[in-house]
Amino acid sequence: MSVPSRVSSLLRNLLRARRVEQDLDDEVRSYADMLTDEKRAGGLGEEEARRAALVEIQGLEQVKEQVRETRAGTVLEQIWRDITYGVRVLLKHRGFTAAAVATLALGIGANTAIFSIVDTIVFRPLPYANPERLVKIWGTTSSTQRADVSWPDFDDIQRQSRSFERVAADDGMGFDVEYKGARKSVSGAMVTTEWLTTLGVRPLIGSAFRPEESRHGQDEVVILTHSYWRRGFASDSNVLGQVLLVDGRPHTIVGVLPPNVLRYGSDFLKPLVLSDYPTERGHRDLDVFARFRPDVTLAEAQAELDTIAARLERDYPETNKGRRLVAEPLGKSYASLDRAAIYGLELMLGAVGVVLLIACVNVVSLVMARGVTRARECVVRTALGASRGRLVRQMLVENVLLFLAGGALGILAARWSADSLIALAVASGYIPERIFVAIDGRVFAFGLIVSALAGLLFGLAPALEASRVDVNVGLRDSGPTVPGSRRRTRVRRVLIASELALSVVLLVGFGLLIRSFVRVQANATSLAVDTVLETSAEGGRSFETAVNFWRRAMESVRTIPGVTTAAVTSRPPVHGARQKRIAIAGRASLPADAEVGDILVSANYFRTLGITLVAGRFFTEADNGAAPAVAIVSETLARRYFSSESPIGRRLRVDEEDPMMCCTAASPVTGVWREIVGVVRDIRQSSLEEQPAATLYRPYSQIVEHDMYLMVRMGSANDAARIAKDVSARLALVAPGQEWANVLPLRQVIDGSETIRRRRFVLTLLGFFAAVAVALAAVGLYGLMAYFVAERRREIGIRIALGASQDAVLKHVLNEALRLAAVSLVLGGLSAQLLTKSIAVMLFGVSSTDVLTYASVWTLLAGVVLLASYFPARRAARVDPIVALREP
Amino acid sequence: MAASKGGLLQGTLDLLILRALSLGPNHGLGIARRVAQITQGTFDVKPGSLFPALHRLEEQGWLAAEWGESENRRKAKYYRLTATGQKHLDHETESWKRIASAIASAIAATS
Repeated sequence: MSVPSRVSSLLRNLLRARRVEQDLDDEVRSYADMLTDEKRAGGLGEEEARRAALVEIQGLEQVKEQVRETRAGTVLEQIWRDITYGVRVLLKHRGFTAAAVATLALGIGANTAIFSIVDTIVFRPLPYANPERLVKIWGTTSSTQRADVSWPDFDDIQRQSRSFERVAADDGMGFDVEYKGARKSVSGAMVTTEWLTTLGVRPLIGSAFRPEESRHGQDEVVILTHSYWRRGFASDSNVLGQVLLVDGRPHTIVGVLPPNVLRYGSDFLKPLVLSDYPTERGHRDLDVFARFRPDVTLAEAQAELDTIAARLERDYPETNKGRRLVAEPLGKSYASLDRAAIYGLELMLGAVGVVLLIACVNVVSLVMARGVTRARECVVRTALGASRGRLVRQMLVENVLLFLAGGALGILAARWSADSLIALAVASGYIPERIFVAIDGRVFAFGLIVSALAGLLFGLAPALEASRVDVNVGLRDSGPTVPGSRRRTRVRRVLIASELALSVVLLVGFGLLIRSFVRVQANATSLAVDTVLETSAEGGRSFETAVNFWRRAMESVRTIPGVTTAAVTSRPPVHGARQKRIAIAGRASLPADAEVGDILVSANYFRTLGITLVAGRFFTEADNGAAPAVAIVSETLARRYFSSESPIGRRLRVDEEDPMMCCTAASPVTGVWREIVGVVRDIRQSSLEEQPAATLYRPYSQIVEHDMYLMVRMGSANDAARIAKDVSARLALVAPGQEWANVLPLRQVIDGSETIRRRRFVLTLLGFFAAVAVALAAVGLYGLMAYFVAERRREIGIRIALGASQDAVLKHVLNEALRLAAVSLVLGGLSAQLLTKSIAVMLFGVSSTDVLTYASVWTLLAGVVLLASYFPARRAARVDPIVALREP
Repeated sequence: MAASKGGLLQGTLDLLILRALSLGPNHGLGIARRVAQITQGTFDVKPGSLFPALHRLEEQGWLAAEWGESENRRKAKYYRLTATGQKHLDHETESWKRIASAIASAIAATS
C-alpha cells in the first residue's frame, strides 16, 4: 500500500473535511440521478423511476456513512466530531452535567490532594544521589539500640574503614539567631565539611562548605535549609552574602539546600570546628552517616564496622566496653518520616479511593438513567446507518469528556485545598513541618490519569448499554418504556447497592477509629487533666541554683488565689521518660533489657497530678541531699521486679551516665543504693496508647535535671485562663530574664501529644470522606427510587384504583428500598470485616468486630435509606389513579 | 450474488473494480454495470459496497478520480486506473490465477 498517498488522503480528509463531505454528497447524488435516468429510459415515469432508484440504493445517507467508515483519518475525524457533539450534548443538559461533574470533582479532587502528600512522603525518594548506598551508623550497647557516636570514634571509623567512600557527622543544637534586628532561637546543626558531598547533594544556590571552613575563625558561614529559606527569608535569591548573628557572632550565608534535604529539625548548617568540640571518647553526641562504595555490600560494610568496634573496645575498654557500631539504611530518617505516619496516609489513600469509586458509580448510575432518553436518539442514528461501534464510541467519548471535566475541576480544587490540607497534616504531626510538598506536574498527571482511566472504565458499560437498541422495536414503540429499561434499572440497583455497601465499609472504619479514640483519651482520665497547668524552664546547671530556683517558683505560684498546690517534675505525663538501667540489692544482675523510666519530682508531685499512693509514703521536703537516698516506684515496676513481695524497704541502684549530661545532684549518685519508700499507681508516661511502663521516681531535692516542668493544680477548671495568666506574671518575677514556656492546661498538652493529634487528623479526614460517601449513596438511592416510582405510575394507579391505601403504597415503595438496603448492609458488613483487618494496628481497646460500631452504622444507614426513599414513596402514594391511567 | 461481506469477497470486489477500470475510466454506476457485464451478471455491486471500495482504492493510490460529464450530460465523478493500480492489478490477477487453479485441482482431487 502506498504510504504517501494514504498520508495525503488523511491530510485532505482532515483539513478539508467540508469539501470532502460535499464531494461525497455530490457523487452519491449523481449516482442516484444516473440510476433514475436509467430507470426512466427503461420506461418508468419520473416519480416511479426516482423511487425505484432510491430503493435500489438502500438509502443515500447509509451509503455515505459506509464510505466515511472506510476513509483514512475517519477515526480521528469522527472522534473529533464525537467530542464537539459530546460537548454540545453536555452543555445542553446542564443539570445532569453539573451534578456529574461536581460528584467527580469531589472524588478526583480528594484523591489528587491526598496523593500529593502521600507521593512526597511515601513514593518520592529524597533528593540524595544513589540513596541506596547511604547508611546511618549508630553506636549500640546491650541496652540501647541507637546511640550517638563520639568524635574520636567517628574519626577512627573515617580513618580505618575501607568500605566507605565518605563518612560525615553532625550535631544539632539550639542557637540564638539575629537577622535584621529580630532575635529568635533556631535549631541548627554543626556538620563536618563532607556532609553535603556524602549525601550527594549540591546546594540549590551558593556552594557547599570548603575544607578550610572547619577551622576556628573561618567557620563563620551558614547554609540554610530550603524550609528556613522559605519561612525566614521569603525565598529571597539575594540571600547569599547576607549576614546573620549566630550566638552573637556574624555569619555569612553561603548557600541554600534543595527542598527536603533535612537534618531532623535543624534550620541551618554550619561547619563543625574540631578545636571547639568536645573530643572525649565518652562524649557521644554525633549523628554519623556514610556512603559505602559501589562494589561493597551493606553486609560487608557492617562486617568492617564490627572489626573497628572490636578494636576500639580492646584499645579503650573504659569507654567502649560492650559497644558496637551498626549500619542501617539512612532512608528518610533525617527527614523524620516514620512508619506510623506513612501508615495513616496509606489508609487515607484507601479511603479516598473508596470515595472515588462511589463517585464513579454514582455518575454511571446517572448516565444510565439518562440512557433512557438517549435510547431514542440511538435508535434514530442506527436507522440512519450508524454502526453499533460508532454509537458506543460516541457515548464513550461523551462519558470520558464528563470524567475529564470532573477531573479538571477536581485538580483545581485539589490545588486550592492542598495548602490547607498540608497545614492540617503538619499541625497533626503527620508530616514534619520542614517537608516540602510539591503540587507539581506529577500530581496533576496523577489527577488526569485517574480521571481518564475512570472515564474509560466506568464510561464503557453505560455506553455499551445505551447502544443496545433494536431499530424495529424502538421506532415503532412510542410508549414511555424504552427497550432495555428494565435491565438498565436492574444494573442501577446493583450500582446503588454497591455504593451503600462501600459506605458501610468507610463508616465502620470511621466508627472503629472513633471508638479507639475515645478509649485512648479515657486513659488520661485518672489524672487531673483539667485542673493542672504546665510550664517549663531551665532551672540551672548547678544543683544549688536549680533547687533554689524551683523552690522559689513553686512558692511564688502557690499563693495565687485558686491555686491549691504546685510541683516540679523532669517529665510530665505523655512526655516520656529517660530510660535507665537499674540493679536491685540482694538480687543477681537483672537482664540486659531491665530498663525503667526515670523521673525526678518534688514531694507534692503525686498529689498535684492526682496520682494515688498504693503503699508506703510520698516524698517529703526532708528527702534532701543530707538525708538517705530514696525512691518511689510505679505499680508496674513493683510487679515486674518484686512480683508479689512488697518493694517497700528494698533497695535499688540506678546506672548513671558519667559524667551526667542532663542532671546535677546534691552528692555523687553513681553506685548509690536507694531505699524504696513508696509505690504509686501507674500513669501513661510516654503515650496514651502504650501500656503503663515501669517507672521510678526520685526526689528532685537529691538529683535535679537542668530543664524541669512546673505543674500547678487549681481548685477548679473554671478560672484556668486567669490563673494561667497570673502564673506567667508571677514566674516572670522569680528570675528576671528567665524564659518560661507557655502556661498550658495539661488537657491541652495531652491533646497536643502526637498520638492524639495523629488520631484526630485521621478521624477528621476519614469522617469527611465517610460523610461524602453516605451523601453520594443517599443521592444515588433517591434518584433510583424516584425513577422506580415514575416507571410504575400506572401500576401504582391501578393498585390505588383497586383500593390500596396510601399507606400500603408508601410501604410498598419503602419495602423496595429496604430490600435493596438490607442486601447492601450485609454485603458492606462482610467487606468491612475483611477490610478493617488492615487497620487493626490503629484500633485501640476495641475489636474489629465491635458489635456497637456495626449496629450504629447499620442503624444510621437504614435511617439514611428511609429518608432518601421517603420522598419518592410519598409521591407514589399521592398518585391520582385517574390521571395515571389516562397517561399514554 | 452480493459482493459485500467477508475478506475474500472484499478482495474479489477490489479486483473486479480494478479489472473493470482497466478497460477505461468510468463513473460509479458505469463501473457497477461493467462489473455485472464482465461477470455475466454474477456480481451485482450495490452502492453500499461500491462506494466504500472506490474510496478505499483511491486512498491507496490505485485509482485517481476527477469530475467530468456523463453521456447524459450529468456531472459525474470518473475513476481511472493509475500506474501503481495497473501494477497491483497485474499482481493480483497473477495470484488469483494461482489460487483459482490450486483450488480447482483441490476440488478435482477430492471428488
